Amino acid sequence: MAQSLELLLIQFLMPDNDARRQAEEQIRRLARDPQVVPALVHHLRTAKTPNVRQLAAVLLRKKITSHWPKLPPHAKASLKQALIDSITIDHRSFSNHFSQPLPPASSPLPGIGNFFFKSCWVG
Amino acid sequence: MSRAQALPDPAAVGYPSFKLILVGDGGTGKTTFVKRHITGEFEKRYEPTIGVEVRPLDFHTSRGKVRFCCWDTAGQEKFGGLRDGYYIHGHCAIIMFDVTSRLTYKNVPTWHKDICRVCDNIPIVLCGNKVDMKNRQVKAKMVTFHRKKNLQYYEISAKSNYNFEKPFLYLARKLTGDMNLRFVEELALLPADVTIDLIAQQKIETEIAAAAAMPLPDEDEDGLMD
Repeated sequence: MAQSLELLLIQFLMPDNDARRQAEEQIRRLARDPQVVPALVHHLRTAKTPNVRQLAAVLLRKKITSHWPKLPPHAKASLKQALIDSITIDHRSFSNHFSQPLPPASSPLPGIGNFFFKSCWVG
Repeated sequence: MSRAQALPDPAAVGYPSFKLILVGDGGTGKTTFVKRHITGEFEKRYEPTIGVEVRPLDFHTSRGKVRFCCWDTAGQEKFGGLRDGYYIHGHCAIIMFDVTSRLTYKNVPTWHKDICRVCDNIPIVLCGNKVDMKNRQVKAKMVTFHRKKNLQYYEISAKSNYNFEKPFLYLARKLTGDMNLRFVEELALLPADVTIDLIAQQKIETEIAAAAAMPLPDEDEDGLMD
């Protein structure tokens, strides 16, 4: 999933209507699978262009809450750490999307959100 | 933001190109507005935009040609697509409401918040559309959100072409950093569908200018949204 998703994110950002619609349709399909969460975290951390990283953050915010319960415990732990690590590397891509508003306790975000709030005020 | 970096684009034109995000409730006239420019098509029946439709609009200015890639987004929730994903790397934005519908003005703060979450510090124009209509519900003096948030405000009428160029001229000046920039050719617009009462509208514009000199009201519904 990793490589094709990055290409789709790039294509989604293009002004060409047909190309963007195709990308969007495929992103929607991929987004039904909980594995889209680690894939988006990966691109959020590694994509070369800031726009793609930001798009990964936007999509992650939309998907992480609904998919989180379906992920295995070890994946949750490593994803939490990856997200916390990422904020110190690329502050802007995340802070606007995760620092507000705090979501329900069933999601991983309370702890991460609190960290982001602190980081935003300090950073 | 001065001299925003223009978009790298596989279909790149040889002149500056800026991504303009067009948002607002469904039915406020976003698509009608952007289609007035002759590169678009004529449309009378309301068809909700699904997701987003990118429409390039070119203008001839005193500094050469400029393109606005208008990302005309769905206003209705059910057609929203990936919604704020469309805002990424926007250089400027227009938020549209309908002066015949109080609800569409009431929702402006939400649209503004969504844009600002994705786009840092971009120039934004608030447009009150359909000022040709007689049953105006959002009175001129009720419009204060732009002053709170440092946006530009224009009253427009897409179907009569009234003030069509003003949002684009304002944004072009902001993005180029040249406040003396002018449009140098007559805009190629579709013929007006309706006639606007210019005398009545001029009175309203005078009211707006007068209101701008007065202090902002301390508390109202908009404040609660901040």
